[in-house]
Amino acid sequence: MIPAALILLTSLLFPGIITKVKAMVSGRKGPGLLQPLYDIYRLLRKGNVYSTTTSIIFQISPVIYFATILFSVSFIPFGDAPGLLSFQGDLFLFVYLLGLGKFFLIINALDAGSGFEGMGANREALYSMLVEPAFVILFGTFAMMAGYDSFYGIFSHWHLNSSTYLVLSLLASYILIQIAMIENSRLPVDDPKTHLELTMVHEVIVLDNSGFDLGLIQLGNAFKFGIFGALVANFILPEHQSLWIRALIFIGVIFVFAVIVGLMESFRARSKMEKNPQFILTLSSIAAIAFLVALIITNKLI
Amino acid sequence: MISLLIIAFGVTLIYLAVAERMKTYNTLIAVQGLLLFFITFIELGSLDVWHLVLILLETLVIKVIVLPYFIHRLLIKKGGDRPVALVVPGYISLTVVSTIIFFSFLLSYLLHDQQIQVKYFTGAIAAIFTGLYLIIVHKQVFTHMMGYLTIENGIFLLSLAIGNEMPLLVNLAVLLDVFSSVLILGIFIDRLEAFSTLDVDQLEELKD
Repeated sequence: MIPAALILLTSLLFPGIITKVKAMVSGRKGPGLLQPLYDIYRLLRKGNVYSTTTSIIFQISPVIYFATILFSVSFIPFGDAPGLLSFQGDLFLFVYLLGLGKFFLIINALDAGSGFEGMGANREALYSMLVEPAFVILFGTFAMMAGYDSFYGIFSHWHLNSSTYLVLSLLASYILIQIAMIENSRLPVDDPKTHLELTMVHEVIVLDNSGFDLGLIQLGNAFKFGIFGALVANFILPEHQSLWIRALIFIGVIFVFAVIVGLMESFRARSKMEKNPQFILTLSSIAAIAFLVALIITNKLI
Repeated sequence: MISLLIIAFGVTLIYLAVAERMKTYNTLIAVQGLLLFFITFIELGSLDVWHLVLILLETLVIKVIVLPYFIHRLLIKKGGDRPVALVVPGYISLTVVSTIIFFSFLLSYLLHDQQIQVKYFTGAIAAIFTGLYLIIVHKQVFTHMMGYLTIENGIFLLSLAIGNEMPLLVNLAVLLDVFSSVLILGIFIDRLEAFSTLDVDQLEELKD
Protein backbone atom coordinates (compact mmCIF):
# COMPACT_ATOMS: atom_id res chain seq x y z
CA MET A 1 0.00 0.00 0.00
CA ILE A 2 2.77 2.40 0.96
CA PRO A 3 4.66 2.33 -2.37
CA ALA A 4 1.55 3.06 -4.43
CA ALA A 5 0.52 5.88 -2.09
CA LEU A 6 4.05 7.34 -2.17
CA ILE A 7 4.23 7.19 -5.96
CA LEU A 8 0.83 8.84 -6.37
CA LEU A 9 1.58 11.57 -3.82
CA THR A 10 5.04 12.43 -5.14
CA SER A 11 3.97 12.38 -8.77
CA LEU A 12 1.31 14.99 -8.02
CA LEU A 13 4.11 17.48 -7.37
CA PHE A 14 6.16 16.34 -10.38
CA PRO A 15 4.80 18.75 -13.04
CA GLY A 16 5.01 21.62 -10.54
CA ILE A 17 8.70 20.99 -9.82
CA ILE A 18 9.54 20.75 -13.54
CA THR A 19 7.79 24.05 -14.31
CA LYS A 20 9.42 25.73 -11.31
CA VAL A 21 12.93 24.57 -12.28
CA LYS A 22 12.42 25.69 -15.88
CA ALA A 23 11.18 29.08 -14.69
CA MET A 24 14.08 29.54 -12.28
CA VAL A 25 16.68 28.58 -14.89
CA SER A 26 15.29 31.11 -17.34
CA GLY A 27 15.28 33.79 -14.62
CA ARG A 28 11.57 33.95 -13.90
CA LYS A 29 9.75 33.42 -10.65
CA GLY A 30 7.34 30.96 -12.16
CA PRO A 31 4.03 29.63 -10.87
CA GLY A 32 3.76 27.86 -7.52
CA LEU A 33 4.49 24.17 -7.07
CA LEU A 34 0.78 23.37 -6.83
CA GLN A 35 -0.32 25.32 -9.92
CA PRO A 36 -0.55 22.26 -12.25
CA LEU A 37 -2.65 20.56 -9.56
CA TYR A 38 -5.03 23.52 -9.41
CA ASP A 39 -5.31 23.36 -13.20
CA ILE A 40 -6.15 19.66 -13.07
CA TYR A 41 -8.66 20.28 -10.24
CA ARG A 42 -10.35 23.01 -12.28
CA LEU A 43 -10.57 20.70 -15.28
CA LEU A 44 -11.95 17.83 -13.20
CA ARG A 45 -14.82 20.01 -11.97
CA LYS A 46 -15.88 20.89 -15.50
CA GLY A 47 -18.19 18.95 -17.77
CA ASN A 48 -17.19 17.44 -21.12
CA VAL A 49 -17.93 18.80 -24.55
CA TYR A 50 -18.24 16.08 -27.19
CA SER A 51 -18.15 16.75 -30.88
CA THR A 52 -21.06 15.28 -32.86
CA THR A 53 -18.63 13.32 -35.06
CA THR A 54 -17.23 11.34 -32.14
CA SER A 55 -18.45 7.97 -30.92
CA ILE A 56 -18.43 6.10 -27.64
CA ILE A 57 -14.68 5.40 -28.05
CA PHE A 58 -13.89 9.06 -27.59
CA GLN A 59 -15.83 9.07 -24.33
CA ILE A 60 -14.34 5.96 -22.74
CA SER A 61 -10.71 6.33 -23.88
CA PRO A 62 -9.53 8.90 -21.29
CA VAL A 63 -10.98 6.81 -18.46
CA ILE A 64 -9.31 3.64 -19.75
CA TYR A 65 -6.01 5.50 -20.21
CA PHE A 66 -6.16 6.71 -16.61
CA ALA A 67 -7.18 3.28 -15.33
CA THR A 68 -4.26 1.49 -17.05
CA ILE A 69 -1.81 3.91 -15.46
CA LEU A 70 -3.35 3.47 -12.01
CA PHE A 71 -3.23 -0.28 -12.50
CA SER A 72 0.45 -0.23 -13.51
CA VAL A 73 1.33 1.80 -10.40
CA SER A 74 0.27 -1.20 -8.30
CA PHE A 75 3.13 -3.35 -9.66
CA ILE A 76 5.94 -1.07 -8.55
CA PRO A 77 7.64 -2.42 -5.40
CA PHE A 78 9.38 -0.40 -2.73
CA GLY A 79 12.87 -1.78 -2.24
CA ASP A 80 12.35 -5.20 -0.68
CA ALA A 81 8.64 -4.65 0.03
CA PRO A 82 6.37 -5.88 -2.78
CA GLY A 83 3.87 -3.64 -4.55
CA LEU A 84 0.10 -4.02 -4.25
CA LEU A 85 0.18 -6.75 -6.87
CA SER A 86 3.13 -8.97 -7.59
CA PHE A 87 3.40 -12.18 -9.56
CA GLN A 88 5.74 -13.91 -12.02
CA GLY A 89 5.89 -11.92 -15.24
CA ASP A 90 4.16 -8.77 -13.98
CA LEU A 91 6.95 -6.94 -15.78
CA PHE A 92 5.40 -7.77 -19.14
CA LEU A 93 1.87 -6.98 -18.00
CA PHE A 94 3.21 -3.58 -16.95
CA VAL A 95 4.63 -2.94 -20.44
CA TYR A 96 1.41 -4.06 -22.13
CA LEU A 97 -0.75 -2.00 -19.77
CA LEU A 98 1.15 1.15 -20.70
CA GLY A 99 0.80 0.05 -24.33
CA LEU A 100 -2.95 -0.43 -23.91
CA GLY A 101 -3.26 3.06 -22.44
CA LYS A 102 -1.34 4.50 -25.38
CA PHE A 103 -3.53 2.53 -27.79
CA PHE A 104 -6.72 4.00 -26.36
CA LEU A 105 -5.24 7.49 -26.43
CA ILE A 106 -4.39 6.94 -30.11
CA ILE A 107 -7.85 5.69 -31.14
CA ASN A 108 -9.27 8.53 -29.06
CA ALA A 109 -7.41 10.91 -31.37
CA LEU A 110 -8.44 9.04 -34.53
CA ASP A 111 -12.09 9.04 -33.42
CA ALA A 112 -12.17 12.82 -33.31
CA GLY A 113 -11.70 12.79 -37.08
CA SER A 114 -9.32 15.73 -37.24
CA GLY A 115 -6.44 15.58 -39.71
CA PHE A 116 -4.01 17.01 -37.18
CA GLU A 117 -4.95 14.42 -34.60
CA GLY A 118 -4.45 11.59 -37.07
CA MET A 119 -0.95 12.90 -37.74
CA GLY A 120 -0.17 13.19 -34.02
CA ALA A 121 -1.55 9.69 -33.38
CA ASN A 122 0.70 8.38 -36.12
CA ARG A 123 3.79 9.90 -34.47
CA GLU A 124 2.80 8.83 -30.98
CA ALA A 125 2.31 5.25 -32.17
CA LEU A 126 5.73 5.23 -33.85
CA TYR A 127 7.57 6.61 -30.84
CA SER A 128 5.89 4.29 -28.32
CA MET A 129 6.64 1.36 -30.60
CA LEU A 130 10.31 2.32 -30.79
CA VAL A 131 10.74 2.97 -27.08
CA GLU A 132 9.31 -0.37 -25.98
CA PRO A 133 12.34 -2.52 -26.99
CA ALA A 134 14.64 -0.34 -24.86
CA PHE A 135 12.48 -0.93 -21.77
CA VAL A 136 12.00 -4.65 -22.38
CA ILE A 137 15.70 -5.29 -23.15
CA LEU A 138 16.72 -3.36 -20.04
CA PHE A 139 14.38 -5.21 -17.69
CA GLY A 140 14.99 -8.50 -19.50
CA THR A 141 18.67 -8.04 -18.64
CA PHE A 142 17.85 -7.47 -14.98
CA ALA A 143 15.43 -10.39 -14.91
CA MET A 144 18.22 -12.58 -16.30
CA MET A 145 20.68 -11.36 -13.68
CA ALA A 146 18.24 -11.75 -10.78
CA GLY A 147 16.61 -14.94 -12.02
CA TYR A 148 13.10 -13.53 -11.46
CA ASP A 149 10.74 -11.90 -13.91
CA SER A 150 8.66 -9.80 -11.57
CA PHE A 151 9.51 -6.28 -10.44
CA TYR A 152 9.60 -7.40 -6.84
CA GLY A 153 11.88 -10.35 -7.63
CA ILE A 154 14.30 -8.14 -9.54
CA PHE A 155 14.48 -5.34 -7.01
CA SER A 156 14.64 -7.54 -3.92
CA HIS A 157 17.70 -9.26 -5.41
CA TRP A 158 19.35 -6.05 -6.47
CA HIS A 159 22.41 -5.51 -4.29
CA LEU A 160 24.23 -2.26 -4.63
CA ASN A 161 27.35 -3.54 -2.89
CA SER A 162 29.05 -4.95 -6.00
CA SER A 163 30.43 -2.65 -8.68
CA THR A 164 28.65 -4.57 -11.44
CA TYR A 165 25.26 -3.73 -10.01
CA LEU A 166 26.33 -0.13 -9.50
CA VAL A 167 27.35 0.18 -13.14
CA LEU A 168 24.08 -1.34 -14.33
CA SER A 169 22.11 0.92 -11.94
CA LEU A 170 23.74 3.99 -13.46
CA LEU A 171 23.02 2.77 -16.97
CA ALA A 172 19.44 1.86 -16.06
CA SER A 173 18.85 5.30 -14.52
CA TYR A 174 20.14 7.00 -17.67
CA ILE A 175 17.95 4.89 -19.97
CA LEU A 176 14.88 5.13 -17.71
CA ILE A 177 15.09 8.93 -17.52
CA GLN A 178 15.25 9.11 -21.32
CA ILE A 179 12.37 6.64 -21.65
CA ALA A 180 10.33 8.70 -19.20
CA MET A 181 10.98 11.81 -21.30
CA ILE A 182 9.80 10.03 -24.46
CA GLU A 183 6.82 8.28 -22.85
CA ASN A 184 5.62 11.57 -21.40
CA SER A 185 6.18 13.44 -24.65
CA ARG A 186 8.76 15.90 -23.35
CA LEU A 187 11.91 17.28 -25.00
CA PRO A 188 13.74 16.39 -27.23
CA VAL A 189 11.10 14.23 -28.90
CA ASP A 190 8.11 16.45 -28.25
CA ASP A 191 7.73 19.94 -26.86
CA PRO A 192 4.80 20.35 -24.43
CA LYS A 193 4.89 24.13 -24.95
CA THR A 194 4.50 24.16 -28.71
CA HIS A 195 1.48 26.02 -30.10
CA LEU A 196 1.59 24.80 -33.68
CA GLU A 197 -0.52 21.72 -34.34
CA LEU A 198 1.76 20.60 -37.16
CA THR A 199 4.70 20.10 -34.80
CA MET A 200 2.80 18.61 -31.86
CA VAL A 201 2.87 14.96 -30.90
CA HIS A 202 1.08 14.42 -27.61
CA GLU A 203 -0.65 17.79 -27.33
CA VAL A 204 -2.43 17.40 -30.64
CA ILE A 205 -3.84 14.02 -29.64
CA VAL A 206 -5.75 15.53 -26.75
CA LEU A 207 -6.79 18.62 -28.71
CA ASP A 208 -10.46 17.65 -28.76
CA ASN A 209 -10.63 16.43 -25.18
CA SER A 210 -11.99 18.87 -22.67
CA GLY A 211 -13.04 19.21 -19.06
CA PHE A 212 -13.03 16.07 -16.97
CA ASP A 213 -11.46 13.90 -19.71
CA LEU A 214 -8.56 16.30 -20.24
CA GLY A 215 -8.05 16.48 -16.47
CA LEU A 216 -7.83 12.69 -16.29
CA ILE A 217 -5.28 12.57 -19.11
CA GLN A 218 -3.11 15.23 -17.48
CA LEU A 219 -3.31 13.50 -14.12
CA GLY A 220 -2.39 10.23 -15.82
CA ASN A 221 0.67 11.86 -17.39
CA ALA A 222 1.84 13.09 -13.98
CA PHE A 223 1.41 9.56 -12.55
CA LYS A 224 3.39 8.13 -15.45
CA PHE A 225 6.34 10.34 -14.54
CA GLY A 226 5.96 9.13 -10.97
CA ILE A 227 6.08 5.49 -12.12
CA PHE A 228 9.37 5.94 -13.94
CA GLY A 229 10.78 7.98 -11.06
CA ALA A 230 9.83 5.13 -8.71
CA LEU A 231 11.58 2.60 -10.96
CA VAL A 232 14.77 4.70 -10.87
CA ALA A 233 14.42 5.08 -7.09
CA ASN A 234 14.11 1.32 -6.66
CA PHE A 235 17.56 0.84 -8.17
CA ILE A 236 19.06 3.18 -5.60
CA LEU A 237 17.10 2.31 -2.42
CA PRO A 238 19.37 0.70 0.19
CA GLU A 239 18.36 -2.54 1.89
CA HIS A 240 17.91 -3.14 5.60
CA GLN A 241 16.92 0.41 6.49
CA SER A 242 13.86 1.54 8.37
CA LEU A 243 10.79 2.45 6.37
CA TRP A 244 11.04 6.16 7.09
CA ILE A 245 14.61 6.47 5.85
CA ARG A 246 13.73 4.63 2.67
CA ALA A 247 10.64 6.76 2.16
CA LEU A 248 12.78 9.89 2.56
CA ILE A 249 15.35 8.57 0.06
CA PHE A 250 12.50 7.69 -2.30
CA ILE A 251 11.05 11.20 -2.13
CA GLY A 252 14.54 12.64 -2.57
CA VAL A 253 15.17 10.55 -5.69
CA ILE A 254 11.83 11.59 -7.21
CA PHE A 255 12.63 15.24 -6.44
CA VAL A 256 16.10 14.99 -8.03
CA PHE A 257 14.54 13.20 -11.00
CA ALA A 258 12.06 16.05 -11.49
CA VAL A 259 14.86 18.63 -11.20
CA ILE A 260 16.95 16.72 -13.78
CA VAL A 261 13.99 16.64 -16.17
CA GLY A 262 13.49 20.39 -15.66
CA LEU A 263 17.19 21.12 -16.28
CA MET A 264 17.29 18.86 -19.35
CA GLU A 265 14.29 20.66 -20.78
CA SER A 266 15.84 24.06 -20.10
CA PHE A 267 19.10 23.37 -21.91
CA ARG A 268 17.91 21.19 -24.72
CA ALA A 269 16.34 22.01 -28.04
CA ARG A 270 13.72 19.89 -29.65
CA SER A 271 15.16 17.67 -32.37
CA LYS A 272 13.84 17.53 -35.90
CA MET A 273 10.87 15.22 -36.33
CA GLU A 274 12.86 12.96 -38.69
CA LYS A 275 15.68 12.59 -36.14
CA ASN A 276 13.40 11.24 -33.41
CA PRO A 277 13.30 7.55 -34.45
CA GLN A 278 17.08 7.37 -34.47
CA PHE A 279 17.29 9.09 -31.07
CA ILE A 280 14.87 6.57 -29.58
CA LEU A 281 16.57 3.60 -31.26
CA THR A 282 19.88 4.72 -29.73
CA LEU A 283 18.40 3.94 -26.31
CA SER A 284 17.58 0.38 -27.43
CA SER A 285 21.14 -0.05 -28.68
CA ILE A 286 22.57 1.13 -25.36
CA ALA A 287 20.23 -1.25 -23.53
CA ALA A 288 21.46 -4.04 -25.81
CA ILE A 289 25.06 -3.25 -24.82
CA ALA A 290 24.02 -3.55 -21.17
CA PHE A 291 22.49 -6.91 -22.04
CA LEU A 292 25.73 -8.13 -23.63
CA VAL A 293 27.82 -6.93 -20.68
CA ALA A 294 25.43 -8.71 -18.30
CA LEU A 295 25.83 -11.86 -20.40
CA ILE A 296 29.61 -11.62 -20.10
CA ILE A 297 29.50 -10.96 -16.36
CA THR A 298 27.05 -13.71 -15.48
CA ASN A 299 28.59 -16.18 -17.97
CA LYS A 300 25.17 -17.11 -19.27
CA LEU A 301 24.96 -17.90 -22.94
CA ILE A 302 22.57 -20.33 -24.56
CA MET B 1 34.86 -0.55 -13.15
CA ILE B 2 36.24 -2.09 -16.33
CA SER B 3 32.71 -3.01 -17.43
CA LEU B 4 31.63 0.60 -17.03
CA LEU B 5 34.50 1.72 -19.27
CA ILE B 6 33.75 -0.98 -21.84
CA ILE B 7 30.05 -0.01 -21.84
CA ALA B 8 31.05 3.62 -22.31
CA PHE B 9 33.31 2.58 -25.18
CA GLY B 10 30.39 0.74 -26.82
CA VAL B 11 28.16 3.77 -26.30
CA THR B 12 30.70 6.01 -28.08
CA LEU B 13 30.59 3.59 -31.04
CA ILE B 14 26.80 3.90 -31.15
CA TYR B 15 26.95 7.67 -31.00
CA LEU B 16 29.61 7.64 -33.75
CA ALA B 17 27.07 5.92 -35.97
CA VAL B 18 24.51 8.71 -35.54
CA ALA B 19 26.85 11.70 -35.20
CA GLU B 20 26.07 14.49 -37.60
CA ARG B 21 28.62 17.20 -36.98
CA MET B 22 32.37 17.09 -37.51
CA LYS B 23 32.97 18.38 -33.99
CA THR B 24 30.93 15.50 -32.52
CA TYR B 25 33.14 12.97 -34.31
CA ASN B 26 36.26 14.67 -33.00
CA THR B 27 34.96 14.75 -29.42
CA LEU B 28 33.85 11.12 -29.53
CA ILE B 29 37.26 9.98 -30.77
CA ALA B 30 38.92 11.95 -27.97
CA VAL B 31 36.55 10.39 -25.42
CA GLN B 32 37.46 6.96 -26.78
CA GLY B 33 41.14 7.78 -26.24
CA LEU B 34 40.42 8.78 -22.65
CA LEU B 35 38.47 5.57 -22.01
CA LEU B 36 41.32 3.53 -23.51
CA PHE B 37 43.75 5.25 -21.18
CA PHE B 38 41.69 4.34 -18.10
CA ILE B 39 41.19 0.78 -19.32
CA THR B 40 44.94 0.27 -19.82
CA PHE B 41 45.74 2.01 -16.57
CA ILE B 42 43.50 -0.32 -14.57
CA GLU B 43 44.30 -3.45 -16.52
CA LEU B 44 48.06 -3.08 -16.59
CA GLY B 45 48.58 -2.10 -12.98
CA SER B 46 51.98 -3.71 -12.57
CA LEU B 47 54.09 -2.13 -15.25
CA ASP B 48 57.53 -0.64 -15.19
CA VAL B 49 57.71 3.11 -15.32
CA TRP B 50 58.92 3.50 -18.90
CA HIS B 51 56.26 1.27 -20.32
CA LEU B 52 53.62 3.18 -18.40
CA VAL B 53 54.99 6.51 -19.60
CA LEU B 54 54.86 5.26 -23.17
CA ILE B 55 51.22 4.18 -22.86
CA LEU B 56 50.41 7.47 -21.19
CA LEU B 57 52.05 9.25 -24.09
CA GLU B 58 50.20 7.18 -26.63
CA THR B 59 46.70 7.38 -25.18
CA LEU B 60 46.46 10.48 -23.07
CA VAL B 61 48.80 12.83 -24.89
CA ILE B 62 48.42 11.79 -28.51
CA LYS B 63 44.90 10.39 -28.68
CA VAL B 64 43.21 12.81 -26.31
CA ILE B 65 45.17 16.02 -26.83
CA VAL B 66 47.37 16.16 -29.92
CA LEU B 67 45.20 14.51 -32.58
CA PRO B 68 41.88 16.14 -31.59
CA TYR B 69 43.63 19.52 -31.39
CA PHE B 70 45.19 19.00 -34.80
CA ILE B 71 41.82 18.03 -36.29
CA HIS B 72 40.16 20.94 -34.51
CA ARG B 73 42.65 23.36 -36.08
CA LEU B 74 42.07 21.75 -39.44
CA LEU B 75 38.29 22.17 -39.06
CA ILE B 76 38.64 25.83 -38.15
CA LYS B 77 40.86 26.36 -41.16
CA LYS B 78 38.30 24.69 -43.41
CA GLY B 79 35.48 26.91 -42.17
CA GLY B 80 34.51 25.60 -38.78
CA ASP B 81 32.13 22.92 -37.59
CA ARG B 82 29.81 21.71 -40.33
CA PRO B 83 27.25 18.96 -40.59
CA VAL B 84 28.52 15.80 -42.26
CA ALA B 85 26.58 14.71 -45.31
CA LEU B 86 24.87 11.48 -44.30
CA VAL B 87 24.41 9.12 -47.23
CA VAL B 88 22.67 6.45 -45.15
CA PRO B 89 19.88 7.50 -42.74
CA GLY B 90 20.95 7.59 -39.11
CA TYR B 91 18.69 4.84 -37.87
CA ILE B 92 20.03 2.38 -40.46
CA SER B 93 23.61 3.14 -39.35
CA LEU B 94 22.44 2.63 -35.80
CA THR B 95 20.96 -0.76 -36.58
CA VAL B 96 24.09 -1.79 -38.47
CA VAL B 97 26.43 -0.74 -35.65
CA SER B 98 24.24 -2.49 -33.06
CA THR B 99 24.36 -5.64 -35.19
CA ILE B 100 28.14 -5.28 -35.47
CA ILE B 101 28.43 -5.08 -31.68
CA PHE B 102 26.16 -8.06 -31.24
CA PHE B 103 28.04 -10.20 -33.77
CA SER B 104 31.44 -9.27 -32.42
CA PHE B 105 30.16 -10.44 -29.04
CA LEU B 106 28.99 -13.73 -30.53
CA LEU B 107 32.30 -14.10 -32.36
CA SER B 108 34.44 -13.53 -29.32
CA TYR B 109 32.26 -15.85 -27.29
CA LEU B 110 32.33 -18.62 -29.84
CA LEU B 111 36.12 -18.45 -30.19
CA HIS B 112 36.26 -19.55 -26.58
CA ASP B 113 40.00 -19.25 -26.21
CA GLN B 114 41.68 -19.13 -22.83
CA GLN B 115 44.00 -16.37 -24.05
CA ILE B 116 41.18 -14.10 -25.21
CA GLN B 117 39.36 -11.83 -22.79
CA VAL B 118 35.80 -11.62 -24.06
CA LYS B 119 34.96 -8.05 -23.08
CA TYR B 120 38.04 -6.46 -24.64
CA PHE B 121 37.82 -8.63 -27.71
CA THR B 122 34.16 -7.66 -28.24
CA GLY B 123 34.96 -3.96 -27.91
CA ALA B 124 37.99 -4.25 -30.18
CA ILE B 125 36.29 -6.15 -33.02
CA ALA B 126 33.23 -3.91 -32.76
CA ALA B 127 35.40 -0.79 -33.01
CA ILE B 128 37.33 -2.14 -36.00
CA PHE B 129 34.18 -3.01 -37.93
CA THR B 130 32.42 0.21 -36.95
CA GLY B 131 35.42 2.12 -38.30
CA LEU B 132 35.24 0.19 -41.57
CA TYR B 133 31.51 0.86 -41.76
CA LEU B 134 32.05 4.60 -41.17
CA ILE B 135 34.57 4.68 -44.00
CA ILE B 136 32.23 2.82 -46.35
CA VAL B 137 29.07 4.87 -45.82
CA HIS B 138 30.49 8.36 -45.66
CA LYS B 139 31.56 10.32 -48.66
CA GLN B 140 33.87 12.84 -47.07
CA VAL B 141 37.60 12.69 -46.49
CA PHE B 142 37.10 13.94 -42.94
CA THR B 143 34.84 11.07 -41.89
CA HIS B 144 37.19 8.60 -43.57
CA MET B 145 39.87 9.86 -41.22
CA MET B 146 37.51 9.43 -38.26
CA GLY B 147 36.74 5.87 -39.33
CA TYR B 148 40.46 5.22 -39.56
CA LEU B 149 41.00 6.51 -36.02
CA THR B 150 38.16 4.31 -34.75
CA ILE B 151 39.86 1.28 -36.31
CA GLU B 152 43.09 2.29 -34.61
CA ASN B 153 41.37 2.50 -31.23
CA GLY B 154 39.98 -0.98 -31.89
CA ILE B 155 43.46 -2.33 -32.63
CA PHE B 156 44.75 -0.76 -29.44
CA LEU B 157 42.01 -2.53 -27.48
CA LEU B 158 42.76 -5.75 -29.36
CA SER B 159 46.34 -5.70 -28.11
CA LEU B 160 44.87 -5.66 -24.60
CA ALA B 161 42.46 -8.49 -25.35
CA ILE B 162 45.14 -10.96 -26.28
CA GLY B 163 47.73 -11.71 -23.65
CA ASN B 164 48.39 -10.01 -20.39
CA GLU B 165 50.81 -7.35 -21.47
CA MET B 166 50.91 -4.86 -24.28
CA PRO B 167 53.19 -5.90 -27.10
CA LEU B 168 55.33 -2.80 -27.17
CA LEU B 169 56.51 -3.11 -30.72
CA VAL B 170 52.99 -3.55 -32.14
CA ASN B 171 51.85 -0.49 -30.27
CA LEU B 172 54.71 1.64 -31.51
CA ALA B 173 54.12 0.55 -35.08
CA VAL B 174 50.41 1.33 -34.89
CA LEU B 175 51.11 4.68 -33.30
CA LEU B 176 53.55 5.64 -36.03
CA ASP B 177 51.04 4.52 -38.65
CA VAL B 178 48.26 6.63 -37.24
CA PHE B 179 50.45 9.63 -36.76
CA SER B 180 51.70 9.62 -40.30
CA SER B 181 48.28 8.88 -41.76
CA VAL B 182 46.61 11.71 -39.88
CA LEU B 183 49.38 14.03 -40.99
CA ILE B 184 49.06 12.90 -44.60
CA LEU B 185 45.27 13.14 -44.55
CA GLY B 186 45.55 16.54 -42.86
CA ILE B 187 47.82 17.81 -45.60
CA PHE B 188 45.52 16.16 -48.15
CA ILE B 189 42.47 17.92 -46.75
CA ASP B 190 44.43 21.13 -46.65
CA ARG B 191 45.51 20.78 -50.29
CA LEU B 192 41.94 20.13 -51.41
CA GLU B 193 41.28 23.78 -50.86
CA ALA B 194 41.24 24.40 -54.58
CA PHE B 195 38.08 22.33 -54.88
CA SER B 196 36.44 23.90 -51.82
CA THR B 197 34.84 20.56 -51.00
CA LEU B 198 35.69 17.44 -49.08
CA ASP B 199 33.10 15.30 -50.81
CA VAL B 200 34.67 12.26 -52.40
CA ASP B 201 32.18 12.24 -55.28
CA GLN B 202 33.17 15.74 -56.29
CA LEU B 203 36.81 14.71 -56.44
CA GLU B 204 36.10 12.77 -59.61
CA GLU B 205 36.59 16.05 -61.41
CA LEU B 206 40.28 15.67 -60.64
CA LYS B 207 40.76 13.31 -63.58
CA ASP B 208 41.87 14.55 -66.96
